[in-house]
Amino acid sequence: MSRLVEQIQQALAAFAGISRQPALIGGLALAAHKVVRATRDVDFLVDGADAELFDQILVGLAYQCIHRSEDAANYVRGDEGIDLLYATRPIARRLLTEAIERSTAMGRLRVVSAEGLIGFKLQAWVNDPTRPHDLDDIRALLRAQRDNLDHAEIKEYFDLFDRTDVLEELIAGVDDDRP
Amino acid sequence: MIDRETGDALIAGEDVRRIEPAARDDLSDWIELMEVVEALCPQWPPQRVFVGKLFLL
Repeated sequence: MSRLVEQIQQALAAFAGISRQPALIGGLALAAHKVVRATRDVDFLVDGADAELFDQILVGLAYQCIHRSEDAANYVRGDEGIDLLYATRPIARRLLTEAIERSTAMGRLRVVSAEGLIGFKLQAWVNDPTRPHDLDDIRALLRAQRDNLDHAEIKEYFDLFDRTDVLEELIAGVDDDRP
Repeated sequence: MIDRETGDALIAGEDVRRIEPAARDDLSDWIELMEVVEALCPQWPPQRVFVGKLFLL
């Protein structure tokens, strides 16, 4: 079994007793929306009120916290890592609440919606425009889920970050790829 | 081959349709992919740290 799979399954088992269950976000969550790319980033959206609880659990699993703010935290264990994004604002809290539990090859786990993933990818790109793969991931989600997406919700996220023009460019590029 | 926007002749063009491979949504494709990646790259690069302070969601 993949070392990554073992790592994720161990974390999910440790999180099982938490009443407000985390949801998968980031590159790995893309795979649950039919966008598959190599990534070893294990990112969870968790309720901000549970930050201390998750800290205790991860430290108990021998992770070390290398960064923690009111918005996010990074944990490492050797060359393994888990990132937490804290849901404290209305949008993130809604996305966490509405995350769907999925049956996966690693067991049942909750995954943020494709629209929510696009929003978080946009937030990551705005914070660090040197990460081009965030835009590539958004483009891939727009392609893979084009007939299922709530475009009004996606536009809301791009408006929030004042990047409506970027969304228009992305959609035009995706439309150009239509067969 | 001609560039569709500029009309210039290209030695090698990109005038191909992007075809996304069919994927399953139960993460099994990602697991298979990462098994190959781990076999090819058993030593992983250092973890990144969150950059930026603009958290609006």
